[in-house]
Amino acid sequence: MRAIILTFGALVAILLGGCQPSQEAQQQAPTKGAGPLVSQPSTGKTTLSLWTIWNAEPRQTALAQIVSDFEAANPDIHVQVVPHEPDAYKTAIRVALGGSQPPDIFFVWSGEKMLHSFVRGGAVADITADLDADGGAWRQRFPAASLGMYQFDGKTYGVPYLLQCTFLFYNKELFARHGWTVPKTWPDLLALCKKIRKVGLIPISLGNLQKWPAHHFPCVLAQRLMGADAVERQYDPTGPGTYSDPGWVKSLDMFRELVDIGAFPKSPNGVDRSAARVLFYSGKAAMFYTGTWDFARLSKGGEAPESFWEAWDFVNFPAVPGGKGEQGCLEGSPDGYVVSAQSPNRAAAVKFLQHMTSVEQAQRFVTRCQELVQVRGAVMEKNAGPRLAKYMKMVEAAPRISAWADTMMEESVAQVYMAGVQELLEGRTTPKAVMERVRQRQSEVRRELQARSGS
Amino acid sequence: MRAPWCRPVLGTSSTALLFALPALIFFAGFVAYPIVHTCVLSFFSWSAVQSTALPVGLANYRALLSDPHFFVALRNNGLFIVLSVAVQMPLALLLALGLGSALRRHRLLRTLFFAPFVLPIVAVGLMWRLIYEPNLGALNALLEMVGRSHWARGWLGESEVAIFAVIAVSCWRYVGFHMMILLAGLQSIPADVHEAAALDGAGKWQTLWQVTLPMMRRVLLVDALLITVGSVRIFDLVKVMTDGGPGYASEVLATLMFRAAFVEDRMGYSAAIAVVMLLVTLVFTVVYLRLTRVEDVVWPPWVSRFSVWAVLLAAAAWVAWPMLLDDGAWPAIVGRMVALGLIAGSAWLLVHVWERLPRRPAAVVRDTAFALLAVLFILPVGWAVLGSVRTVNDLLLAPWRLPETWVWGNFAAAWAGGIGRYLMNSLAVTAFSVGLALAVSALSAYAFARLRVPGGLLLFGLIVGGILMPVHASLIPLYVQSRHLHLVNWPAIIGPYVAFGLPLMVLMLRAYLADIPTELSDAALIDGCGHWRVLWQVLLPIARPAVAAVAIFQASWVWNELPLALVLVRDRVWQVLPVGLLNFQGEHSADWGVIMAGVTLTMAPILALYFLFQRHIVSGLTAGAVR
Repeated sequence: MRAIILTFGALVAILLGGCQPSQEAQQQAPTKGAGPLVSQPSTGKTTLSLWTIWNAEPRQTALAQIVSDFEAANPDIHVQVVPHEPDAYKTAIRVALGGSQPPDIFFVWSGEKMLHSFVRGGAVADITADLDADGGAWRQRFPAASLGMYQFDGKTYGVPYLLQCTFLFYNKELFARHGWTVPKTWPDLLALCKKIRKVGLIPISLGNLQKWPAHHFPCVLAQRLMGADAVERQYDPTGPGTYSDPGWVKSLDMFRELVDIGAFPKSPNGVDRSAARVLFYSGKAAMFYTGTWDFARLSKGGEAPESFWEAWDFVNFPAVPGGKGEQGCLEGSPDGYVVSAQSPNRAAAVKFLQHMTSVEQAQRFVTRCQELVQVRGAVMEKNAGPRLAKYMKMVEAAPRISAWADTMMEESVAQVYMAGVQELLEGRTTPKAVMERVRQRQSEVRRELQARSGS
Repeated sequence: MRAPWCRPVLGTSSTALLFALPALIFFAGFVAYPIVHTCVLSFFSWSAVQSTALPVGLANYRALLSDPHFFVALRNNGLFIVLSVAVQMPLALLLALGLGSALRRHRLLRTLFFAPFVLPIVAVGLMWRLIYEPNLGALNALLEMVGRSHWARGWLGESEVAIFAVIAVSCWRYVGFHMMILLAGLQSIPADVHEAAALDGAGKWQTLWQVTLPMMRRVLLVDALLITVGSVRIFDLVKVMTDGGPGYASEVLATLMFRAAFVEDRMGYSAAIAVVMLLVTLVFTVVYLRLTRVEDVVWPPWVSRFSVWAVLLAAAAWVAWPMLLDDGAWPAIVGRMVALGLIAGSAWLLVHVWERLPRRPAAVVRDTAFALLAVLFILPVGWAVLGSVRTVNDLLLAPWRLPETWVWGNFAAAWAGGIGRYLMNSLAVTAFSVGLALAVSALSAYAFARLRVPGGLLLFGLIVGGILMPVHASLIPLYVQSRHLHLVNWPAIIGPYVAFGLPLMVLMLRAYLADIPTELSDAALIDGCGHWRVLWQVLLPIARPAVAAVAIFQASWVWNELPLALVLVRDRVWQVLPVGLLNFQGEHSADWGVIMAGVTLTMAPILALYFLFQRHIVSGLTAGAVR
């Protein structure tokens, strides 16, 4: 006991007495070891730092191209790109925003998870005026729905770039061989899953080790049952959302139905996402509810075997008869870029984003990456493959796009929700209990936020 | 009579302070200050993004106590400690006893057991995620191949199994390391002690229990402390393998804290968890310091009685377990009793046969048994190495067959992805931090061992208390601090690396220096040496084994450190290996083949070094670890 007290006493003593000298020492000591290795910013130029999660090909090269074009046109600006591993990025950017020199431009997932909480915290610059300059020339480059995801109380805080959506992927060959038809409604899907089970295959591949893939099911079901607006109203912890609509429990119940009829592989919570992909393209699973990010891996040049490249197709998730929501709605979210509120180089940062979202640069990005860039005119017949073209058409035809719960829910609420979905997959909890926990967490968050803003 | 130029042996307090100062500065700046900062923050509600903090008193602690996941995490950390000690210590001891010779085949076997430890933790986690995969994974496939498909489980996907699956991997990875430490302790026992015991007619079994183990008690305690420390702080492996899932089933304190801080942005709450971790670990430190202070007792007297009772109780509980589940379970209970009897009987038989077996056949039996065990150990490593030339679907669809197509391109891709760069960076960062930490800790160890530092006991206790400080607890303060000082990349991480390594290094070096006869340094001092020269030219050369030991400890954690590097190293050119390996995962993909190729490339040189230098490492560890 005495040792504990002594130790704590000494900790405090060190803090009180030792702060000043210790800081001096820190400045000297580590440089002894690694002084000449610090990266020196080039002098005389403005250096913009840009943090992204585009750490893999082909996006990395595409971004490098955008940057080098920009630097050629603006010789006084240097753009320093810092690529991050996506999971790690969530940590790194939060820590950076808590520090004193965050990057000038950084990647965000739209929605509550990143953008909204950053905006609330005052970490992101308002670029409404830039978008509206010259009669709104910049604003008009973006589809209104995508840009809308970057608006908050009538102000715009960033620009969308890539739209990702989830679709029901299916194995055309297996469907043809067994005479199955693509499910149009929820009962169709349930019946189909039972049929697929009967021939000994996995109906829907799912790898939920990373916690979020499975939540796409109750998420789309909630939208089909309640409608995108009703769902989205629930998310904002500062708003009236309480998750009290019975549609939330119902959507989890329907998801449990899928679990109960054996629609998924064994122990999906232990399946890595790459393994889920392998289950699908090896023909062990007939369907796969995944996002457009898997296009490249399953198409020509991807990791799937060549025989599979043309053997699959994708459709929107089935409609739920009697649901109040828009049944043709797509689930997805536009990733984008924002400017830091603390950036001393705001003008240069905006200039870079304008360059990046020019039609010319966007078209090049599409050509290289085959992804749906959210700039009007970026995807054309000559630079898009058939799947991207189909995707583009579906987006244009969709009544609206609704974002996933994991990007829209307040992060700690989302964690509770996704953990609940994991437990449902194991049959360890009930939909009611999950929503009860979600509601409780949401009200705690609201109290915390109110207390903080009240002070 | 004392000549006027001769300095007093104990030195003035200003010299002593000067020697202790660098360590104190590092400690205060990078350990104490951030920790105190964290303690203060645990009484606030704040978000990293919003800089306003609201004082909330004990609300964070109240929330913690009403959070069921907190108790799940506590239980899991407890399981981690108990199982890690219970599995690793006996196994490591067995390996150390069996493979302690300088024979070439033992050198090879030791290298094989050591191999998992060389793999970066991140790589180990990613690799086992695939091995444990419930539908296509190598483990379930292997069970099916040997006709035990009913043993197949969902592993990481089952709430009841997940934490045990992670603990198993942790044991697999660390057993080799603990084997090395115990081996060192074993070798420090003079050979004549064993000869004397043999002359007195003691059997092998008796010698083991009455001579060898009691003489190893200190190294066993050090080892138990290391395992406990590692288990309280366990983070990376859980984070990479399950991230606390399914649900919250495999949550540990560090993942809970990390998620609260960096995912959910509840900084105050996270700080409260960090403080609890601190308190838990402080208790262990105090207990440890108590135990090691008892110099003359062979064992703390309760240990042997306690362990006998523990084993008996565990056996009884195992036999009685079916009774708790349902009451008509007599056949199961009888079955378990019979099984227990068989195990005990065969163990007894084994010991007795072992006693009487002539030397040669005994050696053959022993080496064969260890070789088989080594094969089992090296299997996952081999699987990973083979994985480096396979495609991901090959890896999952036919986990135990030779690759259909050999994808040598993975190595080129790993190299092009900068694995060589990461490797060099990690080597350099490790070398810097080990070198600097050694210099700093040697100075202060000398001060604490030989000089009169004002308030020495207090300062020493303080630094040593830092042994168990989790780095994660001070991530945010360290980050903020490094931004204020304009430190990024290596300068930002090396400071904390040195500081967090200091406690253990100072503790061990001080103990060793204190044990070197004072006559030696006194003679040097009388001859006109300053303390500086006494330390560097007289004492440290004698203490070389201890220096090697602490250098290895320091190197092994710096080599694997993830969270600080993740947050503080900004530029890719300066990035270190653990983060670099993560970088091979894209937003929605992981290039398994390339990751495995990267792992192979990094593992090969280190294993080769280990194989060549292990004799030095073994004899180096000897003195250091036992003191």
